[in-house]
Amino acid sequence: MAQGLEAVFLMHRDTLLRFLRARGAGDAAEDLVQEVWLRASGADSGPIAEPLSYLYRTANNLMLDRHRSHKRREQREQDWTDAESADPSVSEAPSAERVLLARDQLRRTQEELDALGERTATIFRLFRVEGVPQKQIATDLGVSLTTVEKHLQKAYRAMIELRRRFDAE
Amino acid sequence: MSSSTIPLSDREEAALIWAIRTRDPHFADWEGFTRWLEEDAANAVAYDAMMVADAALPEMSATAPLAANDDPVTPFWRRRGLSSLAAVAAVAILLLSYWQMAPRPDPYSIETAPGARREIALADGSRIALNGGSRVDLDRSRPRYAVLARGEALFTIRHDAADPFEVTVGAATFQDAGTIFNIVKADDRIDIGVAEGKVIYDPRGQSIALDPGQALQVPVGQGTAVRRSIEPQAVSGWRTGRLSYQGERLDRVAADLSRNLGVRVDIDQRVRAQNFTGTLQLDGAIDGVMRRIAPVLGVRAQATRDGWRLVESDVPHS
Repeated sequence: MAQGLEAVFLMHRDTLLRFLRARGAGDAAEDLVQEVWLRASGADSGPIAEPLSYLYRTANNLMLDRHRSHKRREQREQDWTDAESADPSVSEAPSAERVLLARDQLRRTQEELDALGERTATIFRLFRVEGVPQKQIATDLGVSLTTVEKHLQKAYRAMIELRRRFDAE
Repeated sequence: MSSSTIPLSDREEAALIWAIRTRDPHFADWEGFTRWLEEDAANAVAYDAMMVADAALPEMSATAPLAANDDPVTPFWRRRGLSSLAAVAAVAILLLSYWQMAPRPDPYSIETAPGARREIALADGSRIALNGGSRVDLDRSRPRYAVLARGEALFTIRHDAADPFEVTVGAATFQDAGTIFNIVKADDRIDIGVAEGKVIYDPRGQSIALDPGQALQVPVGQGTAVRRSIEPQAVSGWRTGRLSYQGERLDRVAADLSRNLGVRVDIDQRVRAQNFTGTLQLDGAIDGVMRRIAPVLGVRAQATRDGWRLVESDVPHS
């Protein structure tokens, strides 16, 4: 109910400001905390079990959206610069090569995940592909939350390092 | 795991843990997350980068076209007849293609011959002035990062607290949000002096903060870093030929003369450890400079076939 949420927001406005600054909002923090309220109060979500957590998450997502817009703008500017300065004598890899490369990378990614073990691959799939909450994964598999977290770390870390290898090639 | 793996930095590991945790709908430790973010402005940046690829995934699976006989309840990968492992791999590949933690490296170097100087401007407006016989390695895909590979450079860094500039010199790291500082790389020691702003040495370890008028001598290998006071104006002195010293060994002064003048300046064994406190002004022709400053240093300058040599003075040295 928006009334209850508003009370929570007003009581924790300073905490949310602090969070936004920690996330890198800088001088825009005051404006952004207002936007957090607009988004949170506007959403049609029914009764909220953890209102403060919900407000935090709204703030976090807001900062992520800002980061992504910023990155997209940068990418557009970079693409324009690249296009302007492109060397006409250098051609892009033909699509057949790119398909082969993608297939090769897919195979190596499969191998890498395989090498991590079935448990790690399963936990990664449940979390990332099927969107199961970590607590639920822990209950379903009969392991601790920390164990789930460790397996996820292992999978993500392997994926990042694999990506770096691909980029270096 | 292959030996050619490039490991995640400490910051990236921490950002990864927080990305995994906050991704969970039941996450509640927002205060713990805030505390980690507040430790370092670069943490928020690392976290954003980790989350970008993650957030992109639902967009991609949602835009995958549905076949006529698709059952919306079945997960998208099963609908396409992919085995579970292949599905995970496919997801991982899609995830990786949006990953912005590892942009393609685009390295380049700026180098000066002995005695020559050069100043360059970086994309963000920061400037690096190189003294003679120096080299700085850069990477266009990492705009707020530089390596001082050799010699001496004065850094004038544009302020950005959310994206600090880092300079690596040998095994030492210096971090700065917007400042003017000078670094000299010698074989046995790294010297840094701060003219404006603040620089942090070893930000993820000892975290030694340096304010204007402070200098640090970082030994290569074993030993503790030594803090000193200096004149802020003296930090960039070499650009106008002004070299200031406080109780410095003459072999180091000789190395500085070499770098600044672009000639070889050797030093006799017997006067290497002699101390000097004072300021040298390197004006005019090298000949005149060497003959004028030698007595100031308490030594004699001999012209050699290759350059110069500092030897014991005939005059009694106090």
